Amino acid sequence: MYGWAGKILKVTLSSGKVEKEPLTEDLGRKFIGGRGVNVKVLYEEVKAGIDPFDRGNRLVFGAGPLVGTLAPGSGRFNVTTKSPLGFLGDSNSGGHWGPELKFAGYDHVIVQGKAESPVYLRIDNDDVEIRDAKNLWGLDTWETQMKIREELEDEEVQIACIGQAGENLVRVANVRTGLKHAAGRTGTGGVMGSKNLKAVAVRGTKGIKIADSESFMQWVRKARANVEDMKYTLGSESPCGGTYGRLWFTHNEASMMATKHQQSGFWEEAGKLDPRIFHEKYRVKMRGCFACPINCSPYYVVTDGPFKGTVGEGPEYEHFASFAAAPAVSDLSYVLKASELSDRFGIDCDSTGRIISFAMELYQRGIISEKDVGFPLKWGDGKAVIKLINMISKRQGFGDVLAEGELRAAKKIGRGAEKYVLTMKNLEQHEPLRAIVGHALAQSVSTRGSDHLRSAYHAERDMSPEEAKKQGFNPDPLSYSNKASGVIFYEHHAGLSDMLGFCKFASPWLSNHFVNAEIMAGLFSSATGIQTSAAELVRAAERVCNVERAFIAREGARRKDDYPPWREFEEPYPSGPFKGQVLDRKKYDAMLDEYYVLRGWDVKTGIPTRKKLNELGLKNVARDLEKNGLLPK
Amino acid sequence: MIRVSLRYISSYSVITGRKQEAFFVAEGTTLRSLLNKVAEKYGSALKREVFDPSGDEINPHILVLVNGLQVSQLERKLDTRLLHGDSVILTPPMSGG
Repeated sequence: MYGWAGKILKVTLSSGKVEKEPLTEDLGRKFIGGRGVNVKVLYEEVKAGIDPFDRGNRLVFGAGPLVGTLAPGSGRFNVTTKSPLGFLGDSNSGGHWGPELKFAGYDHVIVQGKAESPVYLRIDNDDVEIRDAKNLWGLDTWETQMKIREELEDEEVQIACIGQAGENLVRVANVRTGLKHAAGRTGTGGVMGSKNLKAVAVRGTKGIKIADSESFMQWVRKARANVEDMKYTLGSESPCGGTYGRLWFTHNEASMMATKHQQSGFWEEAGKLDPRIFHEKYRVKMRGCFACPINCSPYYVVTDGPFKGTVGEGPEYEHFASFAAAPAVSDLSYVLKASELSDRFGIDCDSTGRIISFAMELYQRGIISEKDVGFPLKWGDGKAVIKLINMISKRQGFGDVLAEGELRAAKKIGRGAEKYVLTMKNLEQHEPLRAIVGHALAQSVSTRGSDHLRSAYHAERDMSPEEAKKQGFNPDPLSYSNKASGVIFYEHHAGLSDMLGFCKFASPWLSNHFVNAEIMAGLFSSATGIQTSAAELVRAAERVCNVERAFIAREGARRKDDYPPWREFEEPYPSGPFKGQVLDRKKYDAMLDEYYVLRGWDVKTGIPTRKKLNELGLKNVARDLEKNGLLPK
Repeated sequence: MIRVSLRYISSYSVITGRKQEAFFVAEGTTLRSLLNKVAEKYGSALKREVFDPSGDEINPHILVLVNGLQVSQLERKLDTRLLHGDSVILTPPMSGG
């Protein structure tokens, strides 16, 4: 096979059985790879309604056909499972692990069952071994990677692993690789922990076969030329690069900053954390993922203050939204320490920051007290944030309650706490949406819940009216008209990035002037030897979105789960450029109707119709939904 | 005269037809004045992209970076005086995280 490595590795941890199956061309054509094949496997192999920590749940790793090639930004992989939060668990990571998996000869690894005691999976080209990991249990993600490298006497081995949070079945734990890369959201690390699987260590030397290398390199050069200047804005040539450097003020100006558990979208104290300070004081150099011409990740060392010696990579905008704006902490040293801890413990910074700010709001309203938590939980208290990250990751004290995520924690707390839960498909809402209407729809219909990486409506912020009109978007962030078709565009193109193995920063998810679907089709066709048009690729992405939608429908998701949380409709922004702004429920309803109609889904339930599923070659999914009494009449 | 380098990202490289160029302007030239010169060179399409209808402020959908810093980070905002060797970038704000 060209492009793909051509093999799927299936590991049953209960019995220690390791099987290798071919990845068929038909599967590749229909689902491309990465997230696409992962979700197909999940849909077919995981029983509806299963407890996510049951040994029957699957943990599927996948790297698409362009991963490991010279296509820019092709260092990505997906981890897919039924989420411990209840619906679809799926998350995409950068780094070097995905390419290494391909070099070892595999596109996917399907893990099922549960080991009797902690183990890790070692993949060394054709040799696959389940090794004892008792000595690794209890280590954080950085220590785990170092220890495995030491044990295998191999500095080049790439490791995806969990930290203490995953071991402790924290429902928002993640799978991590390197210092900062994470399959971050939806609790994939908790499922890995439930299987007693500490890590997957991969070493490969086989390379990837390209069908038409001359044509492929022409497409690579074109793609690279379109994205490499991003290094001046987001990457290595910018004095203020990375997502924190680039987005901190622009997100605040757009009222997208998750301030005090979304009580506002604008944070008056954002100026105290001007990214210039971080870059000038602590940034050592910019680093990047495999085959990346941008290098958006600052490596840093903290050289002063109470946490002198803290090192890390990133920190991303989301670290700062989570541990600065959400709990209103304006002391840089505490934010960096919190970021380091969340990365080391292997816990999603987005959900964790929001869960902590949820607890702070409950404290603000007198629903919980010092008695519950063990200490005061006041806005702006960096020490309290750090204590809670520790307690959640280790399930200690009140941290054990919060480790369940906002929704379950609120049920345990009672006393009216449920009123303040802000989740979408049970996933903690990470961004206020009152002044970005298209984005609100995008995040709400996302198949994995609150999420800007599955869908978006960047045309509201990143495009001029003229360009938006040319591309068929409505750039007015407060308008409800003609938003649904754009949301679908972004969903399909974000999906394509995850399926092929591309970084979204290089894709139409950010700008159609970067690696658009035509260039993706050129890269895919020349890499695999399967001539495929841009429209066919987009069709494959639509197919994947429909399987994901069917998966969550089977798990109980309905139209009611495609709405932003109540606060977005009911509490006007108290300050900032969009002061007074809320979403209009009636207009949102109409926008959602339009989205379902364009999707070919049932307007009452949001479930795909037989007609749409058949049209996408998903008759088996239609039959399955029918069997479960879910297929719309 | 001082030399200021201009770089155009994404849609701005499409409008200008180039990725970068140098502008030679008088000492003391402000960012506002430079942007006006760039707009003059590329016509009304670019001017509409850069400046809001009042012509005094830049649009929210464009990010102007001076030596990596956005206008809101500059003490004198659009009235910042440019120096020889400064780098100015026109780019969409870019979302993500």
